[in-house]
Amino acid sequence: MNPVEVLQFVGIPLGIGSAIVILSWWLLPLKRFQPLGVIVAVGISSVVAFILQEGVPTLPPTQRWHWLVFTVTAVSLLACIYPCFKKWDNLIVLQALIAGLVAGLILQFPSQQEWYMRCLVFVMVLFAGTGLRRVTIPAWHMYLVSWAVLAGLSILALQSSFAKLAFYAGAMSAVAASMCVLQLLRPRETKSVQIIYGTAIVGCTLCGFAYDQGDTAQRSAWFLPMASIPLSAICYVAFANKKYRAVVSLAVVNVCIVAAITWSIFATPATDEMWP
Amino acid sequence: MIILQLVTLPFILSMALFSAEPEAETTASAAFEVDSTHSTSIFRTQHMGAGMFYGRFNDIAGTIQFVEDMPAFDITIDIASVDTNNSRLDSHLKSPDFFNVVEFPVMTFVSTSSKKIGDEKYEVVGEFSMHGVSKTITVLMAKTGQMKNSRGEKVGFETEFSIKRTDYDMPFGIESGSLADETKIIVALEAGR
Repeated sequence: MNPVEVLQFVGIPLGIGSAIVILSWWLLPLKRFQPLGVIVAVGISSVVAFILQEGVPTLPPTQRWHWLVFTVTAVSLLACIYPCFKKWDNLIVLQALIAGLVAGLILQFPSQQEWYMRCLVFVMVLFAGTGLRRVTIPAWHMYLVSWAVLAGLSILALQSSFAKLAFYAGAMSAVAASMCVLQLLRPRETKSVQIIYGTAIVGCTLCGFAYDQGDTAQRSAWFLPMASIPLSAICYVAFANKKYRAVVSLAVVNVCIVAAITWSIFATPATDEMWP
Repeated sequence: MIILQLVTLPFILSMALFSAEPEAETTASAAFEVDSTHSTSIFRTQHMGAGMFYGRFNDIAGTIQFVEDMPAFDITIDIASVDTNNSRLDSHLKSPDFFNVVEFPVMTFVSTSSKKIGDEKYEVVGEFSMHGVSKTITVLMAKTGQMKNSRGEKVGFETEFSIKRTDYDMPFGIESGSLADETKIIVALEAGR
């Protein structure tokens, strides 16, 4: 991994995603359609991040981990429908349910094809999606959580020597960071984008877990960043002091991520060898 | 006593004849089993456009048929046995960035035809499968020796060929110039029966 690769594999999706959102400020002035800008930006960034490393994906994919980008794309398309309905605000859980079903059907990583794993994927997408929805108040909070969780997963992927997943999660994390900054610059409706990030986070987690060659203790660390999302949402709701609840829920996420990385490092057999 | 010997001799002789005939047939058709300990598979590729970097696969299995001086190979190499003398690099090579050992645990070579092209040299055509991609390749195989002793019969072959990683959907590091596309593979086999 060198700076040129980081610029290419993370910088290009970041640039494209940011450009789409900035363009949407003028192209989508109607409040109802504002969320489409971010949804399209995140969906396209995901595809670009994948294509830059693996080329145009084929169907069926040549490797099972390619299902990750298919799932995120499918959920992005699903999210695009959301702004077309005026009264879907109360049906946000239904959207997460559909996304969970889509992910449960499409995400097919090695050793995860059994029916109970599909059910687990469904539940995880549901929790991650709705958890992120809870922390969309304010919207930048959801982006911050996605940014931190995906950055944590990127580091775990590097730790497990899966550079392509590290770049993909890193690109998605960088796009979330950019969305956060752009949201602060010009606040926009962000409905529905949380389900894309929820699916990407669950997908990266399961993908990393499936291909990690470490022992069970090391592999278990993969689930901690994702688990921080519902924990963070619970803290946000339960914390009495409204002034600091955002800070507390963000702190929960960061503690979980640091713990996961530390756990992974200590669970890896000690070696003096350097790679790359 | 002499009568007993006269009675039993034809029986012993016939037993020997009956038992010798199937043994000879078995020896001619039995495949040589690859001896993983005394077989080697090495790969070499250029790193950063500078040095030549070597690695090996420690587990080789398979069979060699050697009928009427024509060899036929069915070789399997366990990807998880990759060894570069650096555990972190081994881990990276096993990941989906390269071999994706979880989905594609072995590489195989199954010969389809062979032709003698010189003294103990053969041109072997076969199906080489790696990383979910199969391609027909032609390799020059040299017979390094054959001997028979009390421990059985042994035969040895060696080959050296090059592949392009891009042909096998494994392009990691090529665009950035950190690893070359072309990879040389050297396989030395010892098999016995």
